[in-house]
Amino acid sequence: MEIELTNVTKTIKGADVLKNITYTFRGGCIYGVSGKNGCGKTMLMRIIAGLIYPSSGEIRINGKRLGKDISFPESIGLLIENPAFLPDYTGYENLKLLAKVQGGLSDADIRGVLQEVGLDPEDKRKFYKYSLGMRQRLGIAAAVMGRPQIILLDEPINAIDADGVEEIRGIIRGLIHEDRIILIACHDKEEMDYMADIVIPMSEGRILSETEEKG
Amino acid sequence: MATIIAMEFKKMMRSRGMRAALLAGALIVVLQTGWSFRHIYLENEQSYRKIAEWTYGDPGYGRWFECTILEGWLGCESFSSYNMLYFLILPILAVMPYGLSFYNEWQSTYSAQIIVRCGRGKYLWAKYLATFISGGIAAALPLLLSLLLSACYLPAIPTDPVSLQTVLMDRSMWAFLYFEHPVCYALAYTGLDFVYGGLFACITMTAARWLRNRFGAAMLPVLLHCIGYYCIYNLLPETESYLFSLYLDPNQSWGMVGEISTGPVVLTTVLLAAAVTGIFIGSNRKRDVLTD
Repeated sequence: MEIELTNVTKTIKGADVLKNITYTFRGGCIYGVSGKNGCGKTMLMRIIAGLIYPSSGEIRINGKRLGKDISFPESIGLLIENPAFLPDYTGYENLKLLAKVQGGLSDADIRGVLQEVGLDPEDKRKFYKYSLGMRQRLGIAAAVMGRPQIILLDEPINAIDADGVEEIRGIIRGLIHEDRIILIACHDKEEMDYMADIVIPMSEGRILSETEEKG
Repeated sequence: MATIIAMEFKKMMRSRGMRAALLAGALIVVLQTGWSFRHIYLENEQSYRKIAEWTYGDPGYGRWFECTILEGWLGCESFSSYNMLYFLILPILAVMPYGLSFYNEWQSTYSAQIIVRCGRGKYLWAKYLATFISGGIAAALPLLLSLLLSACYLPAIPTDPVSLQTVLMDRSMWAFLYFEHPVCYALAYTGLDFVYGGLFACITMTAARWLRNRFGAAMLPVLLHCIGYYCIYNLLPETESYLFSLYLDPNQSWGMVGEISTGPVVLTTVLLAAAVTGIFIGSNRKRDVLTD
C-alpha cells in the first residue's frame, strides 16, 4: 500500500493552503501530521481522500493517479473535523446506512465496531442527542468500519474523556497492518509523539524538513 | 447505484420535512373538502330538490345540473380560496421535504462520508432523483387525496358545458379530457404538478450553493412563481403558455384567456428540467467538498 504525493499544491480563493507537497506514505505504520490550526493538516487529508482537487501536482494511490485513473481511493475510511451524521437516526442506523453504501458489511460487523469504540449498538438515542464525545466515537467507528486500506483521522481524540483516549489509542494501534496506511492529524504534539510512528510536521501548507522543524 | 438511490429514498421518506409537507397539504385538502361538501354539494342538492318540486320533475321547465367530481376537486374547485392558496404555496410544500438536504449534508461534510464510499457521480444523481421525487410527492399527493375524497360524494361524470359550472373552455389545454374523462384530466394534471413539484425542489437544491442561505434558497421557487404570476403575466399576457405560474393550476387561469396549449408547456418543462439538471450535476461534479 502506497500513497505518493508529488508537488501537490492547492489554492483556495487566492491563498495556497497546500504548497508543493511531495511525500510518500507506505503501509505498516501510523503517520501523524502535526502543526498549528490552519497549517493544512485537514486539507492534506481531504486531498488524499479525493474530496478536493489539487490545483497542481499529482497523487498516486498504489500507482493509480487520483482524479484520473480513479476518482477516489478504493478503500478508505475518514474522520474529518466534526463528525457529521443524520441527526434523526441512531448511531447504529447511521452506520448501517453507510455500510449499505459501502457494501460487504454485516450487522454483526456494525455492532462489533460500535462496541469497539465504546458505544452501545442498542442505544435508541438519536444522533442529535449524542454528546460531543459520543459523536467523536461514532465518527471513529465509521472511519474504521470494514477495516479500509487507508484510514484518515483528523483530531481523533477531540472531546474524548481520559479513559476513552486510551481505548481509542488501542483501537488505532490495533489497526496497523502492512496493507494499511493510517494517517492522524493532531494539534497536540505530545499525543502525536505517543500515537504516531512517523511524525510529519506541517506549517503554512508545507511539510517542514528536519532542519526547519528544529529551527 | 440502486443501493445509494434506495438509501436516499429512505432518508427522504423519513425526513421531518416530508411529514410536515404532507400534513400541511392534507390539512388544506380536508378543509377544502369540508367547505366544498357544505357550500357546493349540499346547497346544490337543496336547490335541485326544490326545483324538482316546483317543476314536478318535468325537464320542460328547465334543467338543474348535479355537481361532478371535478367541482369538488381541489384542482378545479374555484369558489373557495383553497385552490388559490394551494397553488400559491405549492412551491414551498415541494421544497420542504428534501430541497435543502443536499445543502445541509454538504455543509456538515456528511456528503464526504457518502462520496468516499460510492463516488461523487452516484451520490449526485441519487440526491437529484430523491429530491425530485420528494417535491413531486409533496405536490401531487394532496391533489390525489382530494380527488379520492371528492369521489366519495360526487359522481365521476363529465361536467355538462351547458350547466355553466365548468372552469375550462373548449380551447383550453386538455379540454377533451376535462369534458369527456374528468378523472383522467385530474390525473394528467396531477402528473404535471408532480413534475413541477420535483423541479421546484431541485431548483432550491441547485440554487442553495450560490445563495448560501437556507431561507433564501427555500423561498426561491415561490418567488419565481409569484414573479411569473403577478409580474410577467400582467406585462406579457401572451406568454401564459410558457409561464408555469399559470399553467400549474388545473383551472388554467380560470379560462380567462384560455390560450395555454400542450406544446409550449412541454417545451418549457423540458428546457427547465434540462437546465436545472445540467447546472446541478455540472456545478457539483468537480466541486471541492468543503464548507463554504
